[in-house]
Amino acid sequence: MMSGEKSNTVLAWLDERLPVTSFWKEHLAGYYAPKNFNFLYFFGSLALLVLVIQIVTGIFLAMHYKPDANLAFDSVEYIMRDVSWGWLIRYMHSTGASLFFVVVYLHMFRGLFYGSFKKPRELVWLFGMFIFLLLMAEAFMGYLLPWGQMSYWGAQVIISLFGAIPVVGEQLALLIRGDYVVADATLNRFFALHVSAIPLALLGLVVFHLAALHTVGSNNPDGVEIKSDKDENGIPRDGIPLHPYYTVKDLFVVSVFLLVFSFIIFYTPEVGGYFLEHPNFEPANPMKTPEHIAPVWYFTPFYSILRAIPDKLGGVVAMGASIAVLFLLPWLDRCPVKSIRYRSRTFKLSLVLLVVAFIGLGILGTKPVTVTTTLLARLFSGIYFLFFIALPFYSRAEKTLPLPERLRAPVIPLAERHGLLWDCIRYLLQGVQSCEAYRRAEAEVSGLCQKLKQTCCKSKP
Amino acid sequence: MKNLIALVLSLLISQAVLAEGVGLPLEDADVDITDLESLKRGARIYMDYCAGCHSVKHMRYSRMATDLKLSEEQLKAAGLMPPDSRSLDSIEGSMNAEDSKNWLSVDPPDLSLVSRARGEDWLFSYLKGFYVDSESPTGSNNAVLKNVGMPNVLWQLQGIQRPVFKQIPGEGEALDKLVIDHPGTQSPEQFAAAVNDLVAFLAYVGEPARFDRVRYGKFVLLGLLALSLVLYRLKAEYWKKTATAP
Amino acid sequence: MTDQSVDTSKRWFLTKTASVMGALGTALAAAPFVASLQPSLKAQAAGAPIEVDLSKLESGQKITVMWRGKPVWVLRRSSEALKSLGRVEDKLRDPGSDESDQPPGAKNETRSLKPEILVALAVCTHLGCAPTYRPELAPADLGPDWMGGFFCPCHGSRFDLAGRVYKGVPAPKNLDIPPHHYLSDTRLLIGLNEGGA
Repeated sequence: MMSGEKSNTVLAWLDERLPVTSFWKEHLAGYYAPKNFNFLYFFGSLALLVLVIQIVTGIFLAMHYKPDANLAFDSVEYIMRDVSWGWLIRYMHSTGASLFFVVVYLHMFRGLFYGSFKKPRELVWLFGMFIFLLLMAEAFMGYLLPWGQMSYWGAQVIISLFGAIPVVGEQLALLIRGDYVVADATLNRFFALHVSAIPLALLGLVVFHLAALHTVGSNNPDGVEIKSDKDENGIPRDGIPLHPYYTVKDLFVVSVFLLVFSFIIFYTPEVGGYFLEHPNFEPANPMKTPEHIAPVWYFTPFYSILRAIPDKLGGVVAMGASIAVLFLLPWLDRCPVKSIRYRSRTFKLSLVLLVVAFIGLGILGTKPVTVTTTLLARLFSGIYFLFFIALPFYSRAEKTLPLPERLRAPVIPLAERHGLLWDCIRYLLQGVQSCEAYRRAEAEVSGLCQKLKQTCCKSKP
Repeated sequence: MKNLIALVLSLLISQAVLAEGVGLPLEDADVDITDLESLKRGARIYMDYCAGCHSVKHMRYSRMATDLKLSEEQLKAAGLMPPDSRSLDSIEGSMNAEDSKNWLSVDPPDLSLVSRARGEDWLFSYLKGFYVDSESPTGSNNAVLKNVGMPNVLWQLQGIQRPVFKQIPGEGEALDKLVIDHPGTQSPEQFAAAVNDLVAFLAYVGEPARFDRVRYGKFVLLGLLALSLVLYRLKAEYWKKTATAP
Repeated sequence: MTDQSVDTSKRWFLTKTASVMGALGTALAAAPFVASLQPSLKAQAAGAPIEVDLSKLESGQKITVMWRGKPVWVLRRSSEALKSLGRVEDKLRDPGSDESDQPPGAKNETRSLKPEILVALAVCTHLGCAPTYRPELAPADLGPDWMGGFFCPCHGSRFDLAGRVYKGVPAPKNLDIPPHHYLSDTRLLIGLNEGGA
């Protein structure tokens, strides 16, 4: 009782000076989010978590790292071996970098899938795109810091791209490097930008991204505005307070994410040479190019587009355009219906093709160039751009399905889905379920679950 | 300088040759870094045959002693640590850079991270892949890394291998296999086991933190699993009422 | 199902369990970060015990060696100097070295393992300045009572030839004696006491 009163007076004292309670009400306990978020909606909060992990581990790494071409490589090994627990902090940072992109790509896909970039959320999308752009810069500059072979030659190649820009290109590349090749000066400035300028800008943009989101409210898998259907108290009928409902849900998701994160860190930090590339365990050597330069996996889709064009300037322009079109998305898509649930078959098919092309480009980017891969890369690049070129034309007059009155389930049950695809899947599933082996396995599993429940729950009073 | 360019060129050429599939395919190493006896044998081979020229400068004797479960005295007695070195010293090669430049025309690379840069199978195949080549300045060549500057330091154990070439129509000669001309002190099986131990040691040296990783990993995962279960129950408790709505 | 009332006790239990586990997890996750701030193996290697050869150290002579980045004096005191130690005792703050840091074997009047050899950290216990060695008797600047010792120019702290602090100066305690022991008659190891520790 006493402590309760005391905390109340402290809160009152604070509230007079700082908007604590109103912030809590406006953005957590009183922020109504649609109640049918599904798993695609977790990647936003996970991205925030990874950002925090990267900043904390980054600060501790910066305490031991030396941004000097002669010392950088050895200082990373120093962290890995001589600093207590340095290996853990370094692996957290390297794994975090890759998972950041996993999470952000899925987050962006969610936006495409449910039309979260559309009116009135254009600014949310734009801020998000700027975050993505900065994130790429952050990752690129961070990748130079270990000063391994891939760090060095990757940076050399990417910075040379700026040289393709007419007139100012060479000067610009020189300005970025601060030397005639990637050298100590480059490492030094990339370190400065990586640890201070870009993270600060990122944090600022995250605030804007969230402020814009909380101004317009969250979208949902149905793409219906919950604000248009409010009860007598002015509370959206299909809304649910962010806290405690989505905070407990997010906590669970965070825990599962950390499980995956830890598994990678403790058991397979290199992830087969994708998160930590093998040639990067060799110190940078300006005299010797690795036989095959591949950027880290998260850049490979864009790198593939670059390589697909047989002209230096053309490649750079194509790569730039592949990112720039994403910024324009809110104005390219003219369909008033947001969610894929109610959009035309044309859009569904285009989106599938876009995802296939993007993943295909990503895989090709890790492989050495051959005639076949170049051909495939061109095909996929074509599909990628075609998605954005065709979108404004067909989206205006799309044959959409009627929108529901109220929000539907987070994931529509299979039985309620319509269309040839789902009929096929249902048919296949029935086939599987009717076979003998499946039934035996099901009995086995349910028996096991029963046993587990009995042993675990019986012990409780 | 000239030598370095030559080396770079030779490396590039060898890689090109490899890419065309003319070199021998890599053999599978069977490395188990939790087998401390294997690591100790590998460490001994390293000290006897490699440490003369190469260093593993990122490794300290104290770390090796802890991980191999040996005391400093045992390390010295087993020949794994020079008697005049101190436990926190890093493992340097005994040859200085100037001498090696003069004698070998190249600087033997530090081997701390060679297992992570090249891979265990590569090391295993490379160390077994030396053969006589009268045209090479060292008198030997390698099936995995052509025209390598390093001589075959393990020849007494392995014996001397002779290359057998095959004709590929349209492409000329290609290496087919290596056969032992003069047997060494070890049988091919013994030698493969010894090289495997050496690769195991280098794999351990590449990432000594691997011991820590695997040791703590299971506790972290179990803890997070328990946390996930509790948080799932908590989430389910909060969502019980809303779950049945629309 | 819907009108099943909220089971507050279960919710309370789960919330508490989750909070405790979360707090424990956060603490465990923070531990490696704190541990990473400790001196690394490289720092430990640089701060490893050092050997000093005493065979050329003459009576009254002082040499300075570096251990863990700090200067350490090794001083061979003359018999007169040793005699002076007893005479200044009443002017000292802590003549018995009860509040000072030294190896167990050096908690005596001479503050040393061997009476004539003083091994002391050349860092003033006040604010970390380096005191100067002033063996002369009654110099003009230190007054007529000066029996030889160490004087810190920063804030005027005075120590006798065993590194014991005088009364009425800012330094709170005697000079630290680092861990050390003798490997042989003329070989001294600084950084490690006899038998580890």
